[in-house]
Amino acid sequence: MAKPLNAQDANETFVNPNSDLKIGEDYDQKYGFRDPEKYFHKAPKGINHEVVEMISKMKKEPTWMRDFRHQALDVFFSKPMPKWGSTELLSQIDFDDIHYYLKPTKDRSDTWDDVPEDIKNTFEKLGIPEAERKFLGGVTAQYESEVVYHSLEKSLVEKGIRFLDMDSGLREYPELVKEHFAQIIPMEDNKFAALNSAVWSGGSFIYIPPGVDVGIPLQAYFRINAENMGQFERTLIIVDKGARVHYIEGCTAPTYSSNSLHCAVVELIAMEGAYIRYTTIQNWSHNIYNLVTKRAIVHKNATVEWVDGNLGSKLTMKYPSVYLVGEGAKGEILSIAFSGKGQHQDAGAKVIHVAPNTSSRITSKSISKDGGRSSYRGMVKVYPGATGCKVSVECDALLIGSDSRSDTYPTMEIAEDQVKIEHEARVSKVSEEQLFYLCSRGLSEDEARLLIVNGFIEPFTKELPMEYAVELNRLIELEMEGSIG
Amino acid sequence: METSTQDTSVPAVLEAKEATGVIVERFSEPAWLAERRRQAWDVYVATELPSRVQHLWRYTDPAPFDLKTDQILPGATSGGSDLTLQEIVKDNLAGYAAWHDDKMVEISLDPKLAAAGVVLCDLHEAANEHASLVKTHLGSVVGTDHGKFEALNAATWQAGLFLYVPKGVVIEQPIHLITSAGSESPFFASRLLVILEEGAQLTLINEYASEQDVEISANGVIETVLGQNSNLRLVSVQRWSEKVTVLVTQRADLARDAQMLTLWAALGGGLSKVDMGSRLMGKGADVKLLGLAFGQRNQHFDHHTVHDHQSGNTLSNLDFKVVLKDNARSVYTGLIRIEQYAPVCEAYQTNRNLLLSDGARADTIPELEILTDEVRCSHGATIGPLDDDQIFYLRARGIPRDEAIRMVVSGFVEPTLAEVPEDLRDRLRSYVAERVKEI
Repeated sequence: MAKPLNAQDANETFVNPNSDLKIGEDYDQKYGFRDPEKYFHKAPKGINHEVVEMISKMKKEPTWMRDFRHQALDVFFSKPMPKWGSTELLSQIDFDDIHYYLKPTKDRSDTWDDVPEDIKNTFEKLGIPEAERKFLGGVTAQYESEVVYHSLEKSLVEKGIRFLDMDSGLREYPELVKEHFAQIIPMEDNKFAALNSAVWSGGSFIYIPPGVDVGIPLQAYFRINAENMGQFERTLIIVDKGARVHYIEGCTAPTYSSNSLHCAVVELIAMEGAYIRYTTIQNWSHNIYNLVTKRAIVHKNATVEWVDGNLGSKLTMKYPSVYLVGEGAKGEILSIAFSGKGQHQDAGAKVIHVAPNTSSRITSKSISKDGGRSSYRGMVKVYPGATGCKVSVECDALLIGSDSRSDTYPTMEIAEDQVKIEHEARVSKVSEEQLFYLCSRGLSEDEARLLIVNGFIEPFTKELPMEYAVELNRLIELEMEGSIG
Repeated sequence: METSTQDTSVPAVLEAKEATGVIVERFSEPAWLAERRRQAWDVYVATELPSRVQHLWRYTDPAPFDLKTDQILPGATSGGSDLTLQEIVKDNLAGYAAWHDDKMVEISLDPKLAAAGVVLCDLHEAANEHASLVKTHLGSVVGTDHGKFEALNAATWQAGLFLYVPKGVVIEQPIHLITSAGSESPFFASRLLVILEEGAQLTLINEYASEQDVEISANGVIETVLGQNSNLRLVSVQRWSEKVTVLVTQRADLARDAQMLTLWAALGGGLSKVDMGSRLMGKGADVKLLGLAFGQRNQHFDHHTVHDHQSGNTLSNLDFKVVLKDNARSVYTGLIRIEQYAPVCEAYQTNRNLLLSDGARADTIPELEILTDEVRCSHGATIGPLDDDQIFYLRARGIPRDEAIRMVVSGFVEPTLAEVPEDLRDRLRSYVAERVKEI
C-alpha cells in the first residue's frame, strides 16, 4: 500500500490535487524527489543558433561537430511535427520554454567521492553505486546534460573495451566517432533526431574490440532534476567482430507540474558475428515527454536485442529499430508498456530485412490502466532479394478499467515471396475465470490481479538481470495498487 | 483515354447543375434527388484528394482515380449488351437483375415475393416510387463526407439497383445482381441500396463484370441497412477487366441482433481500391467478413476493412485471404475499433497472404483501436510462399508438382468458397482454377 506523504515531502514535491494518481505518491518518495539547483552553467530557455554555438564552444568541439549541430538545428526548424502518435500531446510541447543545456558540475568524476554531495546522494537513493558494486562492469551516471560520474572495471579496460561518455568519446576517439556518428540515424531522420543532433550532450560511447565478451553488464543512468529541462543524450555503441556486450539504461526524474523533454538518439553497430543486448527501463515521472530514436545496424551473423520497458513518462514515442543488412543477421525486440492515468505509451518496433536468411522477432506486451493509452506501432519491411527471412510479431494487450485504451498499428511490407511472416495480436481484460480461480484458492482480488499481470509480462522480466526483474515487479506492484476491475 | 481535342470545350470545374443535369433528365429523377446530386457535386469539387499521410492511401496513389471533368460527364446512351451476362446461371434464383452501361437489361423477381412486398428495381425508379424509403436511406450509410470519390459517386451514379425486403420476409433462394459496362464512357458509377426490415432474410449476389478489353474507371458504392434481427448474406464478385480502375466503397449498418455475412471476391481490375465496413449499432449485431483476392500479372489490389463496434455485446469476424502470382501486389489494411461505451465485444481478424512468385508483393496492416476493457480481440497476419512440406507430401504420393500446387492453393481458398451459393461457387472455383493453371 502506498504510504501517505509526510508534510516535508508534500512541500518538496508537486502533487496535482485533481489527480488521484496512486502511483505518483510512491514515485515522489522513491524517484520523484528533487535537488536544489546549483549548476555550473545553465543555458537560458529557448533554442537558437546561439545556444548551439555556446554548447559546442563549452565542449571545445571540432569544427565538423559544430557545423553538424548548426545544420541539424536548421533541419529541426524545417521539419513539421509528426502527424501520428499523440498529436494532441505533441502540440503542447513549448520548445521556447525549455533549457537545452544544463551543466551540473565542472568536470566528470571517476570516483563517487568526487561527485558533489547532492548529486551523489541522488544516485545513492536511486541505488546506482550499490548496483555498480554488486554486478555491473561499468557505469555512467548522467545528471541533466552531462555525465557526472563514470567508471569502468580495470579488467575491462585492459581488454581494450572503451566505455565513456559521448563527449569524452569524441575527444579521445575522434576518428572512430566521426566515422560512425549519425551514420545510422542521420539528422534528417525525424524532427526529434534533428533536435538531438543540434543540442546533444552526454550519453555513452562504447567500443568493444573483436572477439571480446564483456560478460557483465554496462550501465548508464539518466536523471533529470531541473524543471523545464531538455535532456538530449547521444549514445553510440560499436561492437566489433565476434564481440558481445549487454548495456542497460535506466531513467527517472522528479515530479513537476511543468513538462520536461527527453530526446535521445541511440545508434548501435553490430559487426560480423557480434552480439548486443540493449536493455532500457524507462521510469520517467509523468511530466516527461520521452521522444527517442533508437536504431541498430546488424551485419552478417550478428545479433541485436532491444529489451525495452516503458513505465513512466507522460508521452513516450519510441520504436527501437533493427536493420538486418548482413546474411544470417538476427534482431529481437521485446517490450512492455504500462500506461496509467494520463499516460500514453506509443511504443513499438521496426525491423528491416535487407539481406537473405535474416530473422527477427517482436514481442510486445502492453497494459493500459485507469484511462491510460498504450499503442503498439510497428513496421516490418522485407526488401526484394531478402530470401529465407523469418519474421514473427506478437502483440498482447491487457486492459484494466473501462476508459483505458489499446491500439495496435502493425505495418508489414513484404516484397519477397520466399519468406515467412507471422503476426498475431490479442487484446483482452484480466479474465474473470483466472481471477475466480485464484480467488477460490485464497488470494485477494488485488493479489490475483497482480499475479496475472506479472504472468502476462513474464516473458519480458525473465530476460532482465535479476535485480532489475525484482525492481520491475515491485514497480508493477505499485502501479497495480488499488486497481479497479 | 486521351480526349485532348475536347479539353478546350469542357471547363475544368463544372457547375453542379451541368454536371448532374444529364443524368437527372435521362432518368426523370425527382427534384429532391436532383438537389442531392448537385450538393454532392459541390462536395466533390470542394474535397481534396485523399491525403497519403494516412495509410488508407499510403500504398495506392489516388491520382489515377481523379478524373478530368470531361471524362466524368456521361456519354451518349449505348445499346450494347454484354457477353459476361450470359455466364450467369439463372435457375434457382428468387430474383435477377442485370444493368449494363446506362440501362437495366433484364430484371425479374419471383411474383410471390413481389406480392409479399419485396422490391427489386432500378434505383432511379425507386427514388420516384418508394421516395420516402430511398430518401431516408440513400447516402445514410455512405455519405458524401466519406471522401472525394464517394461524393463523386453520389453526384453521378447512373447504374442503380434497389432491393427492399419487408419485415419478416424470408427469401430462401438467392437474388443475383450484375452490373457491367462497356467502353462507351470512360467513367462508370454504380450504386446499390439494400434495405432489410426487421427479421428479413436474404442471400444476395452482387457481381461487377466486363468483357476483357474494357478500359474504364468504375466507381461503385454499396449501402446496406440491416434492421433488427435481420440476416443478410452478401456475396460480391469483382471481375472487371484487368484494364479497369476500380473503386468500391461498401458500408453496412447493423441494428440489434442483425447478422451479416459479407464475402468479397476480387479477381479483376488493374488498379483497385476497395473500402468495406460495418457499423455494429445494436446489441447482438454480428458481422462476418470473408475476403478472397487472387491477383495476377500487374494487378494492384488495395483492400481496406473497418469494423466499428458502436454498441456493446457485438461480434465481428474477418478472414481475408490473398493469393498473388506474377507481379501482382496486394495491400490490406484493416481496422477494428471498439468504442468506450461499447463493452463486451468480441472482434477477430485474420489476413493470410500466399505469394506464388518472386515478383509478388503483399503489405498488411491489421489495426486495433480498443477504447474499453471488456473485450476480446485478436488479429493475425501471415505472408509466405507455398509450404514446401505440403508440396513434398503430395509429390511423395505421386502427384505431379503442378497438380500439387493447384491442390494446395485450392485448399487455401476452399473454406472461403464454402460460404458461396452453389452455382456461383462452381464458377468461382473455375476462375481460381484458371489462374492456377500456369504457375
